[in-house]
Amino acid sequence: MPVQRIEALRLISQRFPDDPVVFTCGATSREIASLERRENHLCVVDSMGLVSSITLGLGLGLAEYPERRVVGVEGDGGMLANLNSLATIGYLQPDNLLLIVLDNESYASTGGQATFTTRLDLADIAAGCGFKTWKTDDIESLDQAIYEAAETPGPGFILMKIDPGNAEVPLLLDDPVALGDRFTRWLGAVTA
Amino acid sequence: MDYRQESCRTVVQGLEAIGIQYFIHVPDSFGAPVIAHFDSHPDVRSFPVAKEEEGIGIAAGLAMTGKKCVLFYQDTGLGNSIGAITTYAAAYHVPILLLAVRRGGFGEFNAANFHFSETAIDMVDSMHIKAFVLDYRVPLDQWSSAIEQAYNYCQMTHRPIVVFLNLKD
Repeated sequence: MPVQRIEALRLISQRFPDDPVVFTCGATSREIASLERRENHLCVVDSMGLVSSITLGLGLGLAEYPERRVVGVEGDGGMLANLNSLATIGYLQPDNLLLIVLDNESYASTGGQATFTTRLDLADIAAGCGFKTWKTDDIESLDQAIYEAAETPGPGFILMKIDPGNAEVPLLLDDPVALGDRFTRWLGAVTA
Repeated sequence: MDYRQESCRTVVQGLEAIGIQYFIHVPDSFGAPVIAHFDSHPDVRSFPVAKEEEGIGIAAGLAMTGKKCVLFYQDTGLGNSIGAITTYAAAYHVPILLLAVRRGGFGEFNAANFHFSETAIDMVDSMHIKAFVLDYRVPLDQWSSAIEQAYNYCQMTHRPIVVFLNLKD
């Protein structure tokens, strides 16, 4: 039975309670916000594909805090929208960066249209760009991959195959300014 | 020293006055001296990005950590990045300074890109993205100060700001 996205998000949130975690738009942001509102979470409510790049910027900016992982949670559609980001990250090799791609092989937030990952493997592409990679498809293997990735200098890339469905949760209607301000205030406090 | 060399020199002066820590760039022939300067700068981390849009995300992430950074690309690259500028940097009030080298206007030779470049200033203006223009109408000895002021202004007003640069002879 494939894992629901919301269950993968719950685990990711539990495993990174004190590190910055950036969540992609659509159902991913809605579902994590429905589970919990944490100051270390940054929900990107639009800008499809930009999560990996924002995460890279955060990772570079926090390089002097090697104890912190900087985590980006992207979908397969979002990752495909900014594939060149994998090349840039691979070129720069930030030790503290971890991308987790929740791959449901579809644009689940817009009606379930198929993505290229029905035929292509994003982890293989990431490996070709110089990432350390893990391929997972259940909660236990995702948890193990997170544990290993947290112990391994990055950049890391976890591909997690999930069910294409969405949880029935409310829309995330917060002002982006409020979402960003809460996150940057937390970031400023923990890096002061 | 010709106009291009002198204008690039004053751009460098402005960025060094800001004290930038990160210089993110997309290749540009007119601004190549600026890129070359920061690529060999001992105190600035300079690196290219493959596409302008990801540069917005990276610059925004850096800015959210309090780092001083600038994104340097051709104004035609605004077409590749305006979505990220509006839906992320502007929507989340992230202060980032974008230096957009003009690929239209006096001195332009490429017959394909001037269409976009000539409308780029109006485009960002229509999207309420604040922009300043540095070209032959502004004395070169004022450029470095203008760039420093633009950086401070984006910080004070919590938003992305574009400075258009015409570096052509």
